[in-house]
Amino acid sequence: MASELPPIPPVIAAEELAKKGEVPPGPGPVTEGIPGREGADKIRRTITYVVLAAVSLLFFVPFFWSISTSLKTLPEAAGFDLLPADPSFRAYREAITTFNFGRYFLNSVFLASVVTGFNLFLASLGGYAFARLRFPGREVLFFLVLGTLMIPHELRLVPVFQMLSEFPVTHWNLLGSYQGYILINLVGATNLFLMRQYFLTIPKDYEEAAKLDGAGYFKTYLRVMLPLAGPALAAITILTFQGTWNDFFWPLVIFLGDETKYTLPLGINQFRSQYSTQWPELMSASILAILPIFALYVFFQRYFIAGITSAGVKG
Amino acid sequence: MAPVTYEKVSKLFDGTAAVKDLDLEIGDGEFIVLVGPSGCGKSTALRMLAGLERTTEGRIMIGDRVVNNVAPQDRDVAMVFQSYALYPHMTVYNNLAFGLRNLKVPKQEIDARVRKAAEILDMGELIKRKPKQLSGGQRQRVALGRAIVREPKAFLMDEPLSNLDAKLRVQTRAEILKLQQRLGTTTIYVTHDQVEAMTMGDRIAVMRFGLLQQLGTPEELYTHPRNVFVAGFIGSPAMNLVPAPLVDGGGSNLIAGFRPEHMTLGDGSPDGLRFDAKVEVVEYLGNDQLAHLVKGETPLVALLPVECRLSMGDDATFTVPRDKLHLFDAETEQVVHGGG
Ligand SMILES: Nc1ncnc2c1ncn2[C@@H]1O[C@H](COP(=O)(O)OP(=O)(O)OP(=O)(O)O)[C@@H](O)[C@H]1O
Ligand SMILES: [Mg+2]
Repeated sequence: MASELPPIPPVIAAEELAKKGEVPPGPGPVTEGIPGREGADKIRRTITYVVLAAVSLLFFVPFFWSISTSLKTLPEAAGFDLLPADPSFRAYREAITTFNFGRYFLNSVFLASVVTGFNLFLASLGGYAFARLRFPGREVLFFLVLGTLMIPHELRLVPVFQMLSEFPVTHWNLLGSYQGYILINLVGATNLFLMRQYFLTIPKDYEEAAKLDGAGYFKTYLRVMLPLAGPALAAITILTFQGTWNDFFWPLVIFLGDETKYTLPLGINQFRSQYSTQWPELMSASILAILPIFALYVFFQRYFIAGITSAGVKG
Repeated sequence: MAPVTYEKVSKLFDGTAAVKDLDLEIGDGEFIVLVGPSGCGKSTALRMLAGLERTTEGRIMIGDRVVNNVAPQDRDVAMVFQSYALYPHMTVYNNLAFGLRNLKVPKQEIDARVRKAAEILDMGELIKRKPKQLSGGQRQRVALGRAIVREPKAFLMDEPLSNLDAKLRVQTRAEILKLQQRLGTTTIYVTHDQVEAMTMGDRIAVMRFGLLQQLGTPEELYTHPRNVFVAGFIGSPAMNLVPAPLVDGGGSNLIAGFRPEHMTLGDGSPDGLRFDAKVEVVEYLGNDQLAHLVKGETPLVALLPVECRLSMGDDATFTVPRDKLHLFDAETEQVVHGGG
């Protein structure tokens, strides 16, 4: 009911207060730490930072190792030197020119974008239905959706392969096609779940207001609910884009043999052969492949954290 | 603008009644207040009229159209929510225009109506802001604005003032009344605050446990409460309700009710009800004082002019005029003899 709405702190624009000659209501003067407790606080803060630094180092070292390797030569890469003796971008040039790197890159961008788009649309639409519409079998259906999370990819391999090789009714062969890959990634259960949980946290008043304002179900979803779900949508964007970008398994199954459809992970994999691995090239290509994801994170970080925490905590 | 009628309206939630057999005729342009304690079914009654809740039984009519099966947006009513429910991502202008756009009102007219509403509510310069850039009072006005641009047959308001501080609430109360008088739109207003009900309503419907207890003007409710509940609920400070024999008001099957403001100190009028009580605490209110008394074990409250000298522990005699005495049946709690 109405009282569930979180209280909205009154925010008065500064200019208006200035006009009235009032001082904006802010937190009172910041009191210094409780006497006698500064010492304990300082120790606690130091420990926190040390632990955080250690964990970051743990993640950073392999990453640094990759960068370092990408600047080395192959014989050098076999050694354990942290820094390359004679750093060069040779491996990067090789990585881009040896195989059709540009093509893989475009394939990855295309598939990740399309799959992310479909997930945003379908997960939010489905999440809204599961959160708000009443229809027979809703709970059962929702449990089925969640149930799909428990089936590992490996188990789905054969059925999916068969389904794509001769699609029911139309008998299309979707193996080796972009459509096939997009089809099986149209919407992920995790995303659907995330959206449902997020929509559940949005007070019903907005929808009731929209209803009285003459907005139908779809308009309410599109114009009222979706804009309110920004953080969850940001989380889905980043998770899905990254997931598709990094996906090795399904592109391998579906595009195997058609090198023109390879995505970056498949392309990069070609630097590994049965007898040797071209480490510097592999690392260079990997680092280039990371860049778009890195940019995405920087751009969405704020929303992403908000989305994960709010969907997780309040759900 | 249109009259609104509830005919034997009931609402069950999983078998328990939130509203029972509600009969209510609201005149065209009338300001009616639904009041009662928390959970008495006020909001449910309002939401059934809005179409946000289905009726289990009975008929609701707006004008002479039965709306039971009419979708909310086709009922031509506008609602002000307790939370205001302003769309956070839209500017004030778009908040007001959203409903009109959905109704396919021509663009120029939308613009004219929104600007007029903004002018009526004195929020011209706020129109480009988003809700989170507004103060609580300003948001409240936007919520009202969203209702008035629609030019609906009726305004429905569910505790629209409860998020404001006390001072702003009193101020806004007057503003809503002025607005309603100016527009002449039938208004159904829900509150649990009897002061708000008394000051705002042309008529007041007091509800309890989903049942309408009494419907009447503020004066009728104050002077002729129909039962013990209404007697105790309407008026501040609340009416004293005690076993009648305690104050020599009647037999043991009766409850005597008299208002603190009708008690006088001393012997008073000769035909009045006279009794002694002990003063426990005196609250100074400026012009008046509120004396908390006990007679035997029973607490009583008297509102006396500040000139009366009273101090804690005093025994004093009080008088209540006969014509201000209400008597209720102790069993049924219905009025037997109503005050003047
Ligand atoms: N959706 C619902 N499902 C089940 N019971 C409900 C629902 N809505 C209301 N009720 C019940 O119906 C009764 C009346 O509720 P209602 O919201 O109308 O009370 P109210 O008078 O508005 O109270 P308040 O002053 O607290 O807002 C309550 O007992 C409530 O628990
Ligand atoms: Mg209510």
